[in-house]
Amino acid sequence: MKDYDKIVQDLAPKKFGFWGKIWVTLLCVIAAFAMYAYYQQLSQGLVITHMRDYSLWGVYISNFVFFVAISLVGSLVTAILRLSGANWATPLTRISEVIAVAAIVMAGLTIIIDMGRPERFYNLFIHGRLQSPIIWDVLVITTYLFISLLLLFFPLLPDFSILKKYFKDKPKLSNWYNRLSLKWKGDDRQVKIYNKSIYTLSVLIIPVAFGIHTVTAWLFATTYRPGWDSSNFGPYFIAGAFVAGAGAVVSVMFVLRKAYHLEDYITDFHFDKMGKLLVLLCLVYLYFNVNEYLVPAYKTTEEEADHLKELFVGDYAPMFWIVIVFGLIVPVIALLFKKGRKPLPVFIIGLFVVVGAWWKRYLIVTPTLLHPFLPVEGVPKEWHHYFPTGLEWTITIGTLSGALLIITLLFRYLPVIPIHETIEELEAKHQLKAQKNEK
Amino acid sequence: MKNKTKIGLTIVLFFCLFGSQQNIFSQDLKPAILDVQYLKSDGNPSLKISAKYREDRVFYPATGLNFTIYKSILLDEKDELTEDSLIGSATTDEAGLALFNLQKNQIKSIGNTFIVRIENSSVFEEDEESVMFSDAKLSASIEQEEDGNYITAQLTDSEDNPLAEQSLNVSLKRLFGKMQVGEDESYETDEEGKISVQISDTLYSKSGKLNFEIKLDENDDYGTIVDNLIGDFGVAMVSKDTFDKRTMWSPPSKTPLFALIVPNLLLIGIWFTLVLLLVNLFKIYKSK
Repeated sequence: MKDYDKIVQDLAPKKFGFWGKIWVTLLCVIAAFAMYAYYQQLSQGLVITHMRDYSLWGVYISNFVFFVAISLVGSLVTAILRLSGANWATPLTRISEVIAVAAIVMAGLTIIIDMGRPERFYNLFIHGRLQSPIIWDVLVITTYLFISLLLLFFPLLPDFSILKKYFKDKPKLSNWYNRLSLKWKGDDRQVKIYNKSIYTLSVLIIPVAFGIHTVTAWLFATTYRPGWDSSNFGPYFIAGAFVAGAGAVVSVMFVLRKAYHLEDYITDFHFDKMGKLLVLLCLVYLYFNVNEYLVPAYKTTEEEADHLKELFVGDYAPMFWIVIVFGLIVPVIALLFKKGRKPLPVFIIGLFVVVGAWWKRYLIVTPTLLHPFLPVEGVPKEWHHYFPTGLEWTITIGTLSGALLIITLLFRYLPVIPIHETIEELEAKHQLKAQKNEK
Repeated sequence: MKNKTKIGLTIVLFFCLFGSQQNIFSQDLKPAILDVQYLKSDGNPSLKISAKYREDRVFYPATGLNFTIYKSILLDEKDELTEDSLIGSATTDEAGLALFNLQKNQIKSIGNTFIVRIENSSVFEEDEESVMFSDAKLSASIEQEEDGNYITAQLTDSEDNPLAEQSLNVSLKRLFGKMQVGEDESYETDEEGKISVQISDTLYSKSGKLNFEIKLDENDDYGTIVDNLIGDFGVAMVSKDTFDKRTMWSPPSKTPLFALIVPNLLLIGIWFTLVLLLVNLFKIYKSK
């Protein structure tokens, strides 16, 4: 019982400290700037961006693909590791579920930001054609958001019940937890429905998560352009999304561990495991990268050659090689060593991976658009190049800070680590120990 | 000395003013570049006139330009032109082109000369261009042989004497141009003034009809002579209009069935499960 109280006390949500308040204020200020920039875009139109006839997808779509990629982590840690019986990942499930929800919400928002006339969004549902991958993306994102919310909410039911009791001296907060717990008592019937539902969701989220990434890849692959014309794009996107998602989890878990003093629950062991997992995911993604660039480079059709030249030795070469080396190769090498899998190195590598993943999406979107099969002719000189305007950057950074704000605010009221599951695992350990002692 | 200076300045001033006015007046009328060709299409003679002018190093069509057309009449035995007879007028269209139809009785066997003049134009300078030619005949037909269809054509002068070693073009008219028929761009007439060109049996057209053109093109002696033929042995084009069909590029009401059924089945399956999960939440809430 003493352990139980300690766990609840350790894991119950806490008020923001000084740095927490500074962090939230900073994110709110960035979000406010982004909202002002978006107001400018709404009133003046997309002309405030540098997107033109050729670079018709710019930083917004790169950012959208990044968010979609990050959201895959919900299915990786929660579903795949849960179903494969990897119990060590229990403390990481809530973190990955919250990241997935925040990322998918911002992915949807980013698409609306990318629209010149967002008030016409409803036309997608009225006049949308099921033949178009754009509609598939809208449908699958909506579905994935709903599943992610359910997968976040179901495991929280017992925790809400625990928190209701824990915060009984704060009636208002306790009342909210009570409502959210849906009168959870933990009886056999409830536990049976609860387990069955989580299992169903864990199974269901995997094909939908694969679907969202494949459909997003098809948005590109079904368009006949150098660099996108690939049947490899679906698995290539999924592999990249796993890397980005795992990088996001290790970064966020390090910060939360520090901020909420969770060293007893998120241990070096978890960083070690996630480090190893990240190595595997990076290697798989590297394999897909080799496929994606080697085959067109070998065939060297004129247009593909121009595109690859831009990436390998042209204007985008510094960015491309930094992303490949520091976003994939360096993480693999560093994480192969035990010292590299300690919390701080893993955190730093996680940041490298996430930043690299963001720029990788930029490199997938922009250079291809500037090298179409038909030559770019008879247009102003500035249309031959694309780099986002200050307002585009402000809005994009605003969406990133928006995702971080959602994560931060959710963890203000939700336990970072599932309390109920942690207690259950502890009880199971005690029982095992007792059985051993009896023998 | 002063007087001399005054006189000198006055002369300079006079020439400046007078000279500049001269320039202004001379710029009012532009020189036109004329071209006149004799064209005989399906036995109907005409003059094809084109006019353009140059401004800022760019050529523009001279539109709405009126020409008067004369026929030169040889009055003495030395074949010298001594009198021109007015036979009509023509005006250029938006492309700077005009076609003036001639009467058949205005054409002689040899030594035809027609003069096209710009007269009294408020825009262009007076100018003239002439064309000289002898009359010739081009008769073409389609003949069916054992190994396929052939176009045969014969070029003769007005007295039916064959014209040998003349180059004839054979082409098939298409919507935006002409397609070469046979292996060569042009065919030279033989001693009988004849050519024979085999026609491919896989020529497509909208209704199966093929419009052939046999042409003596801009010949120095006989001008341009054209004979048109229609053959009905083309392969008729079958319309591939998919407007009423269910295709990947149709509007939502004509979505292909597989694209309609498969995604909807998947969506229904997933959302049905999600609804069951929501019901599970309700069951947990109502559990006693």
